[in-house]
Amino acid sequence: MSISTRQSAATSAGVFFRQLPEFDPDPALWGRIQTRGRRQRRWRRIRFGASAGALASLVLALALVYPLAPWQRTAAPELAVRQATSQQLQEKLAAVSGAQDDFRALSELRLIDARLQAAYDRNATDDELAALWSLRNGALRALGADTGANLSVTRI
Amino acid sequence: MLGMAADGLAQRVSSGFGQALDPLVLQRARRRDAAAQEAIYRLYSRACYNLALRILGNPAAAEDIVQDVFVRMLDALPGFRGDAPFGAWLKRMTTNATIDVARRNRRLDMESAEVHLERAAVEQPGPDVGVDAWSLLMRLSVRERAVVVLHELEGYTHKELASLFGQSESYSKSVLARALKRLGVQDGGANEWRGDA
Repeated sequence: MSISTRQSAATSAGVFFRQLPEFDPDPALWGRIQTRGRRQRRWRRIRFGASAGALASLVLALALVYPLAPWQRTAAPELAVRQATSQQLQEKLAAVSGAQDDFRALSELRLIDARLQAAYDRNATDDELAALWSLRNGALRALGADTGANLSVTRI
Repeated sequence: MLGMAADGLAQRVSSGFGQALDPLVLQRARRRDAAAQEAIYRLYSRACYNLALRILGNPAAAEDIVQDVFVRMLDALPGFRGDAPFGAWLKRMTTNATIDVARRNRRLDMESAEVHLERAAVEQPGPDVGVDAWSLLMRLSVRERAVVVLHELEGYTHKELASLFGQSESYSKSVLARALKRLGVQDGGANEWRGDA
């Protein structure tokens, strides 16, 4: 310590604190700060990358386990089943002679198709679409009944 | 070992945090310009080091504080809005880091003022004639040094100290009065002589 000034009792605060020395930090300290800063930034990038990867994996896993949103998980399978039923009924009706001549049933079917198309155009809910597909299936069955066709549908 | 700077008295009295920072340097440093960052270090590192050293009394611990504060400061710099002067912002960071270290080392246990003052009166004698200022300061406890240095040298008010230590204002006033008495210093001179508030 290179302070030569001596403290005497009852000096003022000013005198006392002027006697306090000031010191310089190690000249190599700035280099250490830069190194640590670089290391921290690199580590942060690695951590960010790892976190982003983990998040992406989680999202992917969730998408595989729960492919549909909750409201879709209930409505979409019902919709798909009704669409498939409709397709099967239509294929069977196509093979039945006379079905194409039932103008009343056919016009009802076209009306339902138009409503379905409009529903899809305005992004209607799955529930609404499923109801329309159900209506369409009813019309197809009625058409089949009128022509005496056996329209039993295999459900998967 | 510690090398005493050869600056003049006025420079020594100033804590150094009051030095103005060129806005252009600040702007460049915010864009992570290495030269500007180093310029900030050159301007304030000494003030930062001396504040920590005076409270902790340990050069290695004080260098750790400087390192921590500057790494954090450079990280936070892009978000510095400039509401307060840069030096004041850095001083606050340094003070908080120093108090945190002292607290972590259990050298700033927050016992009641009465218990502390009673023990200090028994354990430590009054000022010795013929002992230099630094040695006298180092005879104080870390808590007393923190209060004395922050109030007398760095311009902290008792309200700010109370908030910093999680104690009442009367606690910090008691610790300060006792510490100044033990240093053989008359109270009340802090603001009249201090170079920078």
